[in-house]
Amino acid sequence: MRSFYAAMLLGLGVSVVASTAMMPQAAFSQDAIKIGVMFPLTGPLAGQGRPERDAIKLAFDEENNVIAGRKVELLFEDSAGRPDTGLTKIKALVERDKVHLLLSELVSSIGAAVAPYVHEQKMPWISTVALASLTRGQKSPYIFRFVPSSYQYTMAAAEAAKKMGWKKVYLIGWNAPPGHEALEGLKKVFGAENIVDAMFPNVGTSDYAPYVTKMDPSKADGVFAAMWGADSSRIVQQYVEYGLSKKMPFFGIASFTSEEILGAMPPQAEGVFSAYTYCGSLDTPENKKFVQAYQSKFNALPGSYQYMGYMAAKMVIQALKDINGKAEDKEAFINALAKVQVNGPMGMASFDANRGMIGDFYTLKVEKGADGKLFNRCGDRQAQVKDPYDAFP
Amino acid sequence: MITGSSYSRWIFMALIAGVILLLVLPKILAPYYLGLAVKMMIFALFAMSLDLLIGFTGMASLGHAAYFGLSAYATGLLALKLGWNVWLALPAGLIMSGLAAVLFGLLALRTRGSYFLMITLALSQLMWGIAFGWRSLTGGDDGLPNVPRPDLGIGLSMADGVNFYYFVLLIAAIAAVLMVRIVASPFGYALRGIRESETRMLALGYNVWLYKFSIFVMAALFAGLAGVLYVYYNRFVSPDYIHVARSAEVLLMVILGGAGTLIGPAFGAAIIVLFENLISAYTERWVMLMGFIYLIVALFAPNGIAGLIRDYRDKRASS
Repeated sequence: MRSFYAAMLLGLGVSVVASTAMMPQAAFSQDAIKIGVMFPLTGPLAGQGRPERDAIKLAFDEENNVIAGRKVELLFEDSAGRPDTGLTKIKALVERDKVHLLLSELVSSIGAAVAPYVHEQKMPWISTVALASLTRGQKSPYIFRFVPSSYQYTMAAAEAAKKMGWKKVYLIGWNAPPGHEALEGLKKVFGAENIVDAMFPNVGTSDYAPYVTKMDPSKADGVFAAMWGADSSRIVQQYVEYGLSKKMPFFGIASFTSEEILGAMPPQAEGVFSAYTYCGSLDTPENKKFVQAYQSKFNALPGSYQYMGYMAAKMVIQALKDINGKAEDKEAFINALAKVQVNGPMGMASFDANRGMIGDFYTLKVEKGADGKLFNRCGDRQAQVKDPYDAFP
Repeated sequence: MITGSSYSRWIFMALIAGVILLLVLPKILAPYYLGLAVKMMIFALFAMSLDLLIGFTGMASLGHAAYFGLSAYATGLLALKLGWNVWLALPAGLIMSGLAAVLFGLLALRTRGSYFLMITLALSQLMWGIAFGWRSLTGGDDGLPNVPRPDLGIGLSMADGVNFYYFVLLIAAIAAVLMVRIVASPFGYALRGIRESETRMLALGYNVWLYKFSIFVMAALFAGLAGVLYVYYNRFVSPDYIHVARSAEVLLMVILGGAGTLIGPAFGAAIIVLFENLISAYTERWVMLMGFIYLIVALFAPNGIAGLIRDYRDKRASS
């Protein structure tokens, strides 16, 4: 017994080493294609991360998890929405689990942290991170971005509103990179002098009254909002309460009215516009099939996050088919993926020369359906919108 | 009956075994696990620095990540934008943490107990706000990627995982020895005295404020050192480094391991890092599992793992 203290210390040390040394994630068959799937599954962004992961699962289930005769294994990790945790988990997938490619992540700070490592490791990474730098300063032949960049979706929203006759605008955006980048995008389209005011409340602001009361319908044609998740339903709620929705149209940027948020919007949100690469009610056979498959499996309507995950997976599946399932040949895979074109729920999608997403944008308008629930009506289409590299090099 | 000397002999042997284990670790572990071991050492250093405050002086800080993050930003920015090598960037990071601690110490040490906790929390969130908001300098929420690995200028590539492991091991070991020396010194005993009864120490003629101020700055310097190592390890820095969630995380490491023991928080840090990275591969409910562990520790081992072992030893010794 006298050795108890020392034995405990030693035991602790040895068990720490032993447990780290021994465990691969699970035993896999030699010839499976291994794909690392990391999303925020816990923390404030789990509400977006989990459904997107589910949609990726759905895409591979549709192939019965076999591509070109090879079994596909998806390895899941949780980034918890934190960049250092995310980077460590990506290292685990690459170095410990020896995945062939990564189909991961939507949080931009994690994207920025992971990009240099992925590039050095020459590891193909298909991300759904809207970070513009992934196809600019941090671009790499191994990094693909299947989601519009912040400039891309802001320009598309601004163009759509301009077509509706808007000339002078307000912006209310997160005091975070996407909010500030939205301002730069609006300036390019409307001109800096036509931005009546740009306000940047913090992420998670609970009361928008001080901002909403500053908006004067006689001075502008409309309001843009660059904020998402619970904040988007809160701002709409207060915009409606202050009676502004009847005087000045409201335009959400990107996935502002995504299906999972729409349920939390007040009934008066009817009439809110947005423009994005996903419109849940689009009447194409591909979209109907996608919505039906997702709904029957997960008992919820898919929104834009699910679409991005599903389509990113479809692009990967097509590229793997094109190289006959030889995922080990990373150069062949990235070359194939760069050329892939997939006709998905929203029409054709592909990658540009910098490996950013090209796809159709729709102008969405929130309306009340026959069942009394809000839905996105699909309006004008902007065909094959590319990341605006000329405007934002 | 157990004598003190036989205990110190066992502890000495365990220490030797631990050192040997740490030295040969790169031969045993695959690269990924070696990287995880580096992360464990960095957080062990961070947790030990907080233990100086909580365990030895009785000052519960909920803003310790401020010093961790500030030095990380200073070193990251200097290495990235001005190309400073580690010999300049590392001391610069430490100076940054030290200066912040001097400033914040003057403010925070006017309070004690839960007020001290709140003011350290507020000050660290202020730093977080600056890191998050000052986009032109800090990159805002996206942080600063592409920080280079340290260049020692002696032809050893730190891109190599094994070399970097030894680099971190050496620095962490020096820092750990320094901390052990601090708490074993008369100064360290005075700190314990302050923890037990400030008024009595005042009555004995100790300048209590100066003792608290000194250890506050020292703890910040060690936390800053951990921050510098972490920015070199991850090769990026983001506001997340300073966030209150990180301060809380390191506080949990200290409590889990056992405050006031130094070695306890080091193991607490290792266990939490391990959990975060191994369990999460199996279940997304790993946060809940962590919660259960905290609950069990709080109920059955309120003095942490080290306290549990100590109690067991004392019981054996007295029976």
